[in-house]
Formats: sequence, structure tokens, C-alpha cells
Amino acid sequence: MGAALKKLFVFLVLASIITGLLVHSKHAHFSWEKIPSIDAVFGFIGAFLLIFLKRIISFLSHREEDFYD
Amino acid sequence: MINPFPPAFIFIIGALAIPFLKGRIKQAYLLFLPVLGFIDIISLQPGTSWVYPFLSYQLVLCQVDQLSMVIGYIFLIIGFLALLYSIHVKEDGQHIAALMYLGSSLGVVFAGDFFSLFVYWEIMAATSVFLIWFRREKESLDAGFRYILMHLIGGGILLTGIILHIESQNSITIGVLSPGWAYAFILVGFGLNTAFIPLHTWLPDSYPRGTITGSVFLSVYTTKTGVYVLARCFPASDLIAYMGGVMAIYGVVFALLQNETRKLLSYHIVSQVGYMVAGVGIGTQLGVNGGIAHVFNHILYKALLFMCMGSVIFMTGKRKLTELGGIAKYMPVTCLACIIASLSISGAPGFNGFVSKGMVISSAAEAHKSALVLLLTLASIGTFLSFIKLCYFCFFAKNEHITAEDPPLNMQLAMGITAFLCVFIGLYPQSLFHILPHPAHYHTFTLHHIAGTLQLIFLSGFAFLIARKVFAPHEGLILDFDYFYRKGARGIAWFSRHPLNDFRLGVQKSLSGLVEAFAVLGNNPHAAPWIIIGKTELALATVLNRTLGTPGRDLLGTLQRNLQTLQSGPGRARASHFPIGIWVAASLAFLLILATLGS
Repeated sequence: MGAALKKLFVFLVLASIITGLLVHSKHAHFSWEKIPSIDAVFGFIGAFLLIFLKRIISFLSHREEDFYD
Repeated sequence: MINPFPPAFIFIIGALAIPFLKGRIKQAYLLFLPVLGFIDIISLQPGTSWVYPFLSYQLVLCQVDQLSMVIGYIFLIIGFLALLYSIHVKEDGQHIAALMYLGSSLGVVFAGDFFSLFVYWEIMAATSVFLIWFRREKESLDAGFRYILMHLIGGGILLTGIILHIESQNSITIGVLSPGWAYAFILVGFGLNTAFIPLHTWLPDSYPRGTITGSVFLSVYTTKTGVYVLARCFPASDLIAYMGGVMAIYGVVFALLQNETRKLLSYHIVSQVGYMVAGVGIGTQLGVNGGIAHVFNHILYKALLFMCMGSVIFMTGKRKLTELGGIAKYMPVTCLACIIASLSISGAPGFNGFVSKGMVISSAAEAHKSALVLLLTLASIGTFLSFIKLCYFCFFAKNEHITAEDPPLNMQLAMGITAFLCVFIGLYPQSLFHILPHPAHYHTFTLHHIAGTLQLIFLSGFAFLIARKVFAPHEGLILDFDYFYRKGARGIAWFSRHPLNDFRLGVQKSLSGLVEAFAVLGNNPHAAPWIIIGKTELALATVLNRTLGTPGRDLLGTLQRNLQTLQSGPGRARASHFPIGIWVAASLAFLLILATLGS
């Protein structure tokens, strides 16, 4: 990935978080929705949670391609 | 003015003309049919038509309302685009199967009674399987058999449910079902086509094995008719709503593990159908609208993804991410279309997935289903990760060994129009809202929603960059629930072959021994005592020979020969005449006695 692209990406990450801090939900249905930029936390933690789930499934059920043959 | 037809007829009957057409005329005809279908459905009047009495019930071939219309529209739009994508295919069989599959799906959508629904349901299974078999590889044949087997089992379960429903309600009209045995059977029957976990295994097993063009059709119709009938018969059910959440997350985790491009897409069908099922299960106006809007949008971007990956396989012959990479510069149109479809499925603002996914998640939040909201949000993070992986390893990762070019013009055009529709609905969602089943009061572009979605996307993208190595594709197979079905099926085959068939052979042997004994007795009654003595001698001699170990082979041989002589020796042919003569003589004597006594 080029340096310029990386910079742009970091800028977008920061911009999205800052925008989140400025914009509040008017119709929060759950308590967590009141936390500013909570979606950024979800996005980051969620990705690692999925990596963890992926690892577990891979450990349990990864086989050779000709397993059923 | 001609009255509108049930749209299914146009395609099922229209398909029969394909073998008689050639070249450009055939291509034009293929594109003309969905246009005709579209004209047909916009001239349909709301309500029921094409009603026929059947036994003491009524078959309704055309039931038209907002719900059937919106699904009808998208089935025909994508039917046109998928046919455009496949008009270069020379094999008539593929076109016939695709048209009949499309037609029968429309049949299900417009059916007003369970009988016609069931018939169309089975035609769908029986025609779609050819889109897999026409790939003509061994693994496609095998996957096709597993596909049809599961759908026939599902069809059987559905029929059982329908019969139970008729038994209890004395009606075949399609409508909301109330809990009971019929409800359970019909739900499982519908659920199999909708890829409920763990009944989903046919989908990722067979869709990657379809023909390049056939899989585009497959990705559209079966699961979406499933969602449609769920919306008709099972609105508002927590069980269904949470099943949707489980499907969404399950599909996404398994998709992250895949190396084969179309298998990855297939698991995303399970995941995306999860959103639709969740919306329908929530059952509020926003939920059902969201679910149905997601059907509409998903059909567009998922068909586009199958078109893109089909093009990659068509042009490079490679279907695994480990073998692909660096083809963005050779296939720019395909790459751009794939990026648009990936952004759409990831729910990026400005693309169609953003609209309907937001509706479904909002409806779950309004219904205060926090677990469902978290499941669906997590699934949307996974979707984005999965499509960064797909686009990166397919188009951008370093690979010096492949050169390719964009596919034929018709395929490019189909991809272009589909991509345009994804962006158009993304930017102008009102175009979709006013054809939804309920009035839509949903604000798509709120700052909060846009900022939240961008945070999810950018931060999960950031996580991808950090842990890029974890997402690298690997060779191998990931077992799914089909492991249990396949092992179970092998167990059934073993049970049939050994205990059951051995028992059958045992019964057959003992009965034929009995018959043989009677035959010998009847043929040659006076030899019977000698045969019994001979058999006993032989049995004793065999046992003695075995236990004492005496070398009595000569004796055994002699005894066996003697027995054979007795059983089938000279005179046997004649001997068989004796009993007949005796019986005839005895009968004549009996009649004579009767006659004598009678007189």
C-alpha cells in the first residue's frame, strides 16, 4: 500500500471517529448507543472477535481438500 | 386487449421454443422473454385471477399484491440481466433450465394456493439442478445429486406440512399459519430453501459447482422465494428473527475461511439471507419492508458478485484465491464492478446495501432486540472484512503468473447495468421505497447512521491492515454440518447393504431351500428318504471331518456325488412326470367316486 494511500486511510479513520463524536443519536434504543463513536469500538473489537471465531472453526474443521473422496 | 398471463407460463412454455431457434434470433428471444414478463406483470390487477376448481378446492395461479409485485419486479429485472450475461452460451439445455427455473420461481411468487406453490417449488428444484450438472465435472455431478436429494427431502417435508394444514384447516389458500404440526413441517420445508442453519449445506456445496452463468441464476431465486414465502406465512416470530441473526454471523465466519471465490460468495448468501429472515421474523412494518428491500438489493449485488467471479473463472480458469491475484490491470471492468458490489454488500453509504441493511437493523433496535442488533452488526463487520479479502487477493495481491482480459461484451454490459442499479438505489432509495409492501417512513441518510457505518467500515478495515496475514487464503476444506449428513448417509447406505440386504438374502435362501425341497419331493417322492439320509450322512461326515481332522475328502466327495445323483440323477426329467400322472389319476378317481355316489 502506498504511503499516500496509508495517510488517506488514517485520515478517514480519524475523520469518521471525530464526526461520530460530534453527531449524537436522537433515537437511542440501547444504552450503548449514547456513547459517542461507539461504532468505531464495535468495528475494531468486532473484527478481532471474528478473527477469534474464524480461528476456532478453522482449528475444529480444517481438513485436506480430498477429505470426502 | 389480451388478458395478462400467469408470468410463470411465459417462461416455462417459452423455454420450449429454444431448440428451434438459432443465432441472433435465439439471443433476441432470450432477452425478449423477461421484457414480455415485465409487461405482463405490470398489467396484472391486484387480487386473484386464473382460478380453477380442483377437487373441492380452488387453485389460484395469480395472486397479486404489493409483496408479490416487488419480488416479481426484481426476479424479472435480474432475469433479464442474467440472460444478457449468458446469451453467448451455445448449449440450449442451459437456457431451457434457466428459463424454467425463473418461471417456476415466479410461479411460487404469484401462487395463491399451497398446491400450485408445491408444484412450482418442485419444478424449481428439478430445473435448477441442471444449472449445476451442465458444468459436466465430476464434482458438479456429485454436488448436483446432493443438492437435488436435499431439496426432494425438503419438498417431502413441505408436502407433509401442506397435507396436515389441509387436514386441520380444510383450506389450501396461502396465508398466515398458526402454530401446530403443519406450521412446524412447512417452516422446515421453507427453511431448507431459505438456508436455515443447519439445513443450509446444499447451498455452499452446490452453488460454486454451477456453470459460470448458471450460478448467477442460482444465487438469485431459490433462497429469495424462501424468504418470500416466510413473509407470507410466518410473519413476526422470534424464532425466525434470531435464526436470521445466527445465519448472518454463521455465514460470515465460514465465508472468511474460504479459499474458493464462489464458495465464499455462497456463504455470504447464507449470511445476507439472514438479514432478510431477521427482518421478516421481526415482523413490524419496518422489519418486513427492510427484509423485502434487502431481497431486492441483495439480488442485485449478489448476482453482480457471481457475474464478476464467474468472469474471473471464465477468463483465467482459476477459482481459488491462492491461485489468483493482480488481475485488476487486466480486467478493469470486472474489478470495478466487483468493488461496487463489495461496497454494496458491505453496506457502505451510497450503495444499495446501506439502505436495506440499515432498515433491518433499525427494525431490530425498535423492537428492542439487542442481541439481534449485535449479531447483525457483527455480521456486517465480517462482510466488509470478507470482501476486502476477496477484492485484495483476487485483483490486487501480487501474482506474476496470470494474464487475462475482461469477458465478452454481453457479460460486461450485464455487470455494468447491475452495478449501476446498485448505485442508483443507493443514492435514490425512494425508487425502491414506493414499491415495498408497507408504507416506508425510513430516513436513510441521517448523519448518525452514515458516521456509524463509516466507523464500522474504517475501523474494521484498520483491523484488516493490522492482521492482514490472518486473512490470507489457505488451501483445504472447511467441514460444515454436511459432515454429519454425509456420514449419516453413508451409515444409511451401510445399514441397507449389510443388515437389511443380508437379511433379505437369508430369507431368500431359506425360502428357496424350502421350495427346492418341495420340488425334489414332488419330482421324485420315493427318493426323499434317501435324500434325507444322504444329507444327514454328508452333514455328519462334514462335522466329523472338521472336528477330527481326518483326511476324509474322498468320503465327502463320494457322499456329495451320491446326493447329487439322487437329487438330479438320471430319471429326474421323467420323475417329474410321475407326480403329475399320479395327481391326474387321483383326481379322476375322485371324480369317478363322486359321480358314482351322486348317481
